[in-house]
Amino acid sequence: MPISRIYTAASASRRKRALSYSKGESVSGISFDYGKFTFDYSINFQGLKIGFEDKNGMYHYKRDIIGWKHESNIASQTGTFYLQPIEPLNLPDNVTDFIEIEFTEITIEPNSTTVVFLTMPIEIGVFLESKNGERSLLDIVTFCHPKFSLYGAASRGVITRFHKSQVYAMPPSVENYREGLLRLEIENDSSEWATIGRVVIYQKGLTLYYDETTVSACAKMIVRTRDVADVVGIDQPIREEMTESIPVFESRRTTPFCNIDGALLDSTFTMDMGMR
Amino acid sequence: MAEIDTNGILETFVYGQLTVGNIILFILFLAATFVLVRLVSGFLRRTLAGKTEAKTIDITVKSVRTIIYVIGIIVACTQLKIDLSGLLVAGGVVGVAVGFASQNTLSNLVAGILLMFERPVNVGDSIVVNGTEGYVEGIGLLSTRVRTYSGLYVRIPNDSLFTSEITNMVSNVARRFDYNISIRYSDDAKKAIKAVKRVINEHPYALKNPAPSVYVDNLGAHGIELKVRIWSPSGFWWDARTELLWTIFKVLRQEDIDVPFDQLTVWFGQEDAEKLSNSLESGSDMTVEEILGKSEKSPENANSGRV
Repeated sequence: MPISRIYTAASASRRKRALSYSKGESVSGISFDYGKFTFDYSINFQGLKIGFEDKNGMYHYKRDIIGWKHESNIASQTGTFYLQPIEPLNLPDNVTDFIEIEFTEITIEPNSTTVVFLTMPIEIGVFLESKNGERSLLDIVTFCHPKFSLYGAASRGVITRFHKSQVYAMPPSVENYREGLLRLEIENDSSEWATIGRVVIYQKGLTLYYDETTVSACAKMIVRTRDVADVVGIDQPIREEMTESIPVFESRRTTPFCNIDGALLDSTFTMDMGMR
Repeated sequence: MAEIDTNGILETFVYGQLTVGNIILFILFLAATFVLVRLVSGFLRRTLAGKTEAKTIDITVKSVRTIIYVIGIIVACTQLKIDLSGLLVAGGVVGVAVGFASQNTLSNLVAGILLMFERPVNVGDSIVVNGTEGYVEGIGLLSTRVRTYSGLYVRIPNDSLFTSEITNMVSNVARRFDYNISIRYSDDAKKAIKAVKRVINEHPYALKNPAPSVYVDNLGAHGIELKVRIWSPSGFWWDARTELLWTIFKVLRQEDIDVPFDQLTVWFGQEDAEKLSNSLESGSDMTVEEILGKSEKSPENANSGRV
């Protein structure tokens, strides 16, 4: 059976069935409020200022994050907007659709499975909503410093949004406006020990969930041989009552500069150029 | 029930030597030609989709369709007992004449078709061909249009493009760019390297892997020459290159590290004589060259021997 079908079936069976990890606190004790708001709501949080001004029926959107400003006029009847965590692939430009997380190496014995938690950078999307429920991305901000990397060779590799993380056995406390949690299930399907120090995920299959303190996503990595693994995102929250974030992938073109022939099957990315 | 003699019907003469069978075969050939045209058109559209412009695909499909129709009709016409030998001879003569006349055009056409399959360049790529640098605006059957970085329109015949060395700047996902930065001999190269690396690490488009490298490349005539090598996403390397160079310069200045100006040390005879005189007084065993720190004798102290 093709890999994509296995994963589609696997992810479909797990979809929306929440895990039961307990709720943590934010590192700094302060959390960012994600959700749906009306235009009279304004934000002043850790240097981020967002607000809507009513100017004779026309709304004026203003954003300022440590001197980086954006303004636009909005004609809206509903007067509602969403603040949602989104994948860190939009700033400073849509360079790639892949996230690479480097972590302290884990050596896994043959035919076994382990679950780890990694941190991942996030961006914050400001969405508008129309009367009929149609949503449009208005603005994106981030508290993270973006950094890119190359996975594989320049001729057939992929540009990735790079992030370095610690490895955690249980969900750690993070600042929900800066970082999210990635629950990574690593299954060593091979008959030899495998050492893994990085994971590359295609963002199409990655669904973000959030609650008051945490932003999370789930992914699965199946190690085929010592140097090859398949990675796929799983649509699953890490605990009950988490809300699914609005996906940005639909409204964005795919990576213009990635040679992914053969390496990408639906939303599964095959890491065939090393895992360390 | 009476049997129908199908052979008899097929061999029934309709007009002159023309039988019902001939007419049926004629219709069948035409139908087969029509089906073949549909199949080939579909195949070509699927194969060429995304490889070249829609307009070019349309022209290619129409041309191939016309050729198949002409061949199909000629073959079908043989069933109608139409003697096409004269037409074929005339067509052959015309073909040779047209072939000679449009040798270059045909060469470009073939090169254009080959380019579509080989795909060394795509629309939007940044390329260098025969000294022309720019973005590929369109790949046609006969020529490729390039918009230079200064906005000029350049038409490159496909034959020329096909046989030339093509540098595609964005074919690979990442590329490297280099800087040569000179600092003064009085500056600390280690400190400079550390500062440059810090700037590079902060820039999003300076890739983490392959890691950038900064090292002392040469002890030049005017200063210590540092080599800086940075990898960047192909589509964003120019932004990174222009932003980083100025940032590196500013940070080096902040660290009190400066770019040296070209310097020329001039030795005056008066100064040498004075230095020599002092050495003579102190009774040194050194030669004049050793005292003056020169590898060769200058004309002004060529008369001196061992002190």
